[in-house]
Amino acid sequence: MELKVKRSGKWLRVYAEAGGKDASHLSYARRKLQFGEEATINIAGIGGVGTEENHRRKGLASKVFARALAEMQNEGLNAAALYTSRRIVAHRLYRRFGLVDVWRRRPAYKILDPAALARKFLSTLVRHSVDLQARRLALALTLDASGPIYFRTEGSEVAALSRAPRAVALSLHMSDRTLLRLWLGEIRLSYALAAKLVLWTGDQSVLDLLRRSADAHARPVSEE
Amino acid sequence: MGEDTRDVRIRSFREGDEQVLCRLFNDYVSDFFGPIRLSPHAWRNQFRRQSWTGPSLTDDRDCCRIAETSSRALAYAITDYQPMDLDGGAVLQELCTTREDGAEDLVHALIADAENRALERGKFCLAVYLSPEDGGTAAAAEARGCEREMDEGGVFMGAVTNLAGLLSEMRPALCSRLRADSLSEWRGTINVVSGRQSACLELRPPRVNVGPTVESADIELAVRPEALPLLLFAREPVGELYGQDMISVSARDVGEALHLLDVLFPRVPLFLPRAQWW
Repeated sequence: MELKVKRSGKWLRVYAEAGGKDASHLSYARRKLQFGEEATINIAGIGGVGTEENHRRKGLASKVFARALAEMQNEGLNAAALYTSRRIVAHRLYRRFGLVDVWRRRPAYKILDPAALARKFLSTLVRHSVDLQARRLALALTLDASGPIYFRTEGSEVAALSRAPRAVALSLHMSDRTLLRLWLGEIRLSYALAAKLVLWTGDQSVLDLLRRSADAHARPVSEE
Repeated sequence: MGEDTRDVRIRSFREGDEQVLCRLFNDYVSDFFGPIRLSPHAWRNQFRRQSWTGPSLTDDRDCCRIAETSSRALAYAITDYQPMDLDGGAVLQELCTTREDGAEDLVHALIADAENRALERGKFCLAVYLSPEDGGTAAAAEARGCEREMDEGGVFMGAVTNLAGLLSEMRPALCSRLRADSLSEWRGTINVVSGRQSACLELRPPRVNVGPTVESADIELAVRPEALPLLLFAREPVGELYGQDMISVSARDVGEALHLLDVLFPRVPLFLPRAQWW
């Protein structure tokens, strides 16, 4: 398979073609990093890395990466950097090519409106579960800082209720932070239940549906 | 701070502010490794229409809020109220202040302002994407109830593709670091070897030269390849890497050699403004 190189504005694109289509590709552009007050160094800022699904596990990405590194050196770029997620498989590939985690992003969050966050979270779960959409449910969610918030699901819609419904299928109790972590996908609902970060009463089958949808939504980062 | 902080008011961005905001930015980031210094035009360009790294100040001037007295701007904050990666939330992505006493109050005031505006726009959370290594804003954000979550996975990765070339580019910084230390008159050679890459630093005050490795250098520094970016990108102090066997040092006086290497390659807090990600 032939490797090609194409410049487009600031970006240099290295790619492998199969059957006239892109099979694997990587782009980089000249960027700058400041080393103290006195030195600014030019580096290759890598982006747009990918391999088409039916061309994976053939060593294509490795070839593209090796060629890109050679191009960088030809251009006098003495370092390379990229921003990615440790949640994706490519992170391991980058490490094989000498890229090292130099800075982990750690955002901080403040919950401004817990009820709105709860509705957003439940909406996400319902939207991703055909089984939940098939049922009309009343749910209660109690957060540490507030009394219970009631919701009604109908199809893919989740609406907050202004007062308690006659019957609640499932009541959940958790802290604001646990809710945020669930919504961000940092922990699985299964884990939160097992660790008693989330307490529940009500219909086990509804809990199971919520759990399945929430666990599919979660993408916790594993430590290596 | 000179001015009475009770006189501070917060207002939205106006075209023409970029001159003073750029100066605030460049002064604020000078202590960090990473962020490049910007011209007023480049600062403004980060927040142009259809910028994918930040909000458009052309369309929404409230995204930049400035704390000022009657005589000058003291701090500013950039908040993205339509972030691509946080549906329903707002992202505080840049906050720069003067370094004078009272700056902490300004940080508090600007974060509180961002919270209020986020609520007004129906956002349920405020995410603070400032560097955890930016102690001033991190402490203020924490005091306002912003908590760091476990790990959302985002990571900057770096690689050294040409050791000799990179050391050459770093020479002005190496000279400056050396000048500021008691070993500023140290003369000699340091072989740096990492995997298949190698180079020699020749220290001849006030100059530092870079060339191929020499026989019997005064200091032999061997760096494990996975530690090379950590050392050169100022992420780990020499002592820490030495303690973890990530580097090894041979010299007549290893203690002095470690001190010298620590001067040349210090750990510096890293902070890449969100608008400079790519």
